[in-house]
Amino acid sequence: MYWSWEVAFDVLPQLAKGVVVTIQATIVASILAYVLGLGIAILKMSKSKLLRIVLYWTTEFIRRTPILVQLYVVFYVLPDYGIFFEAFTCGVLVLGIHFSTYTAEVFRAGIDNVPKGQWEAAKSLNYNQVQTWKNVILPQAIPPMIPPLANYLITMFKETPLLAAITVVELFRAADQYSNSHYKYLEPMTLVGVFFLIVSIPSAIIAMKLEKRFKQRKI
Amino acid sequence: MKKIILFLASFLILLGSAKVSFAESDTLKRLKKQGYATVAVANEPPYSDIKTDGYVTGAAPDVARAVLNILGVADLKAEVIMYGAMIPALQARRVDMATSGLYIKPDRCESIIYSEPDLCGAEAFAVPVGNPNNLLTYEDIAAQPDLKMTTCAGCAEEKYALERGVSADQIVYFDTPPSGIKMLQQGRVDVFALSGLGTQDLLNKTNDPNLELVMPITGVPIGCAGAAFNMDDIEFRAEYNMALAKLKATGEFAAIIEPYGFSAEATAGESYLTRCPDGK
Repeated sequence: MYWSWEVAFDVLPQLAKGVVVTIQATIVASILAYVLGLGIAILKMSKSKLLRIVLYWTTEFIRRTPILVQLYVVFYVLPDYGIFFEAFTCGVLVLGIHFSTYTAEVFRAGIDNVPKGQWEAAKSLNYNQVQTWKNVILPQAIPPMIPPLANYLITMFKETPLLAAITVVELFRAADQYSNSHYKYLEPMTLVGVFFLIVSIPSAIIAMKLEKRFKQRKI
Repeated sequence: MKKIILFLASFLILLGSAKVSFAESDTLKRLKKQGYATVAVANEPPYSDIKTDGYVTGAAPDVARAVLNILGVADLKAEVIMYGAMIPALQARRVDMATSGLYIKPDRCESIIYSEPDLCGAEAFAVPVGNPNNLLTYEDIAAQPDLKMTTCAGCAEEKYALERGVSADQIVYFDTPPSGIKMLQQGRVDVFALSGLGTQDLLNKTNDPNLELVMPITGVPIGCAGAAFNMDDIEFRAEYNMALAKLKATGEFAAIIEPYGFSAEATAGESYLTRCPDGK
């Protein structure tokens, strides 16, 4: 079996469509993961013990079960209970929620890193909750979080082929469908791998540079 | 004297058996030696069916098992592979044969070779009860572009649909036939297309009064499947065909497939010679 440029060019238009879906899924899922993650991190600092316990076990549950199982449950099982989402929505919801439990840890660590004195300073300025978060805590907490958050973005990007399992025609599934109807695997799968590399290697380098920059700033 | 006769006799037997194995293809020799053949199945009853304990059954593997027994291979081991991926699996020799009701189609004949047909049957749709979109042919699906159909990637039904004007965007590929039925039940798709007996079996098992069978689908040929082999296994295919012919002649073939709902008679006039271009 040898590489055929003819097959490679034949499959490209279908892969291009898949790329769009892959990127859309990554963006929507990561926004969800970030917003939800921040929300979880803030709520986990709540004074209510009950809320903290509920959040702790919920995030543990989500984090300790495989994404694939979660996808199947949301796609095939929830509709039986009247909760129906389109395949793409199912996919980004599961990815976003799954990774929000990880980003929440990043946010929590970032917030914890803000010295206690800053909270007291905000209090002494008579800031309310919103002002404290907006003006004092988050501006200091967010920059060091950016590198790990960028790493989760790359991880989520690499996990999008899982959505193929619930009929979302993203890049991998587009290639798989081509393979299944043309009996060619070499070219489609190689191109998928190359595309993921082209995106994830530069992103990883950027994330590494960001990490260095924030470390230097601390010194 | 007795010893000499015994020696001569054993020598002759050895020679005889050597001669027999000389005539055998390398593939058959290897399968006999290891005691089983690895086959690709799709887990689509009644064509192929893997029991919860892992036993491979269904009409196609049962026929293959009987044929292989005649050839001296004791058993089958199955790998579940999607239809579209069976051909690359055969080419890469991940499996020795595909015995799963893989239809004999001209474009497939370019990549693999087939035995004589063992299972022939009509096509079917599963639709919501009452057939609200009045789908009787693939052309009916093509005429209503907002409808979605589900079938398997790389299977005959996908080709039937595309050839008859159904757009690629209308097709949602299922991973396994039951998950396709699930999507139909949940309204994710409007029609499910697969082999007639396969669809019927699924609907019987699902037992959902909200679904209905449309069979046969007019405008598409009767599909005939055979065991599929790697291109280089022409000799092994010839051996397989000879044993299959034996099985058909004894009536055992009918006894195997008819309980599954297939007709032995339907395969009577069929041959890969006419179904594959150039009779490959």
